[in-house]
Amino acid sequence: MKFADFMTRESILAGVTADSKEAVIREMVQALLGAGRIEADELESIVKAILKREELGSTGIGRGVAVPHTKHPSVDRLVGTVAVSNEGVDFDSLDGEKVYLFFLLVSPPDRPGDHLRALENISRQLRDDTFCRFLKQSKSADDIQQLLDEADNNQFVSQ
Amino acid sequence: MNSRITTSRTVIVTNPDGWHLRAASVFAQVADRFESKVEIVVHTKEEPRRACGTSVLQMVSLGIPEGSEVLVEATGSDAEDALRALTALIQMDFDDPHEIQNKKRTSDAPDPETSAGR
Repeated sequence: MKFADFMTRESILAGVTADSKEAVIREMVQALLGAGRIEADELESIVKAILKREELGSTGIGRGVAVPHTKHPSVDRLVGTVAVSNEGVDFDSLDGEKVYLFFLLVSPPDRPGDHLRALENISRQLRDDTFCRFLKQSKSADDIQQLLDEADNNQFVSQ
Repeated sequence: MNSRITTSRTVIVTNPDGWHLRAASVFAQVADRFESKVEIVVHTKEEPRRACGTSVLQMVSLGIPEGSEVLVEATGSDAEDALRALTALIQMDFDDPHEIQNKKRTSDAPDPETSAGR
């Protein structure tokens, strides 16, 4: 699965200023709404579901990366977005470090395979130091979109 | 180290969500409790793909779905204990790690294949 299969340019956020876990999650879900990927009356429910998932254990998996996510019955296909913070956000990460790169996923409850393949793609790309560095340095949503496109074209990893 | 051994066992992932993020996180936390080095290996059509058992990123990047066969390999002085705990965790669908202790007592799983150290 490629980034283009579940991410759209309209929901990408560069230079997010949110400074808490809830704030950054809320801003990203709001961006999904702005891009027409979720319904307005589902926003609160999706934010709450993602925060509830975080209570089971942070999705901040180290290396300055977090993948907040949830299953939600209001979506009929996997939707996601990416955000970059220049300052970093305390996210209760496994390694205790701040998070700079966020990949948020909302998937239909009956499609665990799609969620797994999206996670596979995200984590495979994030294993590449160059991809991570360029992403952290991104100044605009267009920069981020370009990096995701390049990743989709296998320009960062050979696996 | 006179007790440095490598032991491994193949387990089938029965969790409907596969080796997802929380599963990998819990597995990594349990693997980290042991001195032994832990790796997981999945066989694909092309070649075996390995991931460090304490790296969430590496494990999730293998994209392991339900029904997959995963070889868990531990090397070190407490390799057998590590393997027993980690395979039990997979068989419990990566449930809360503190339940492992109860599971271990009732487990009648065959002994893992043991080989000489590297």
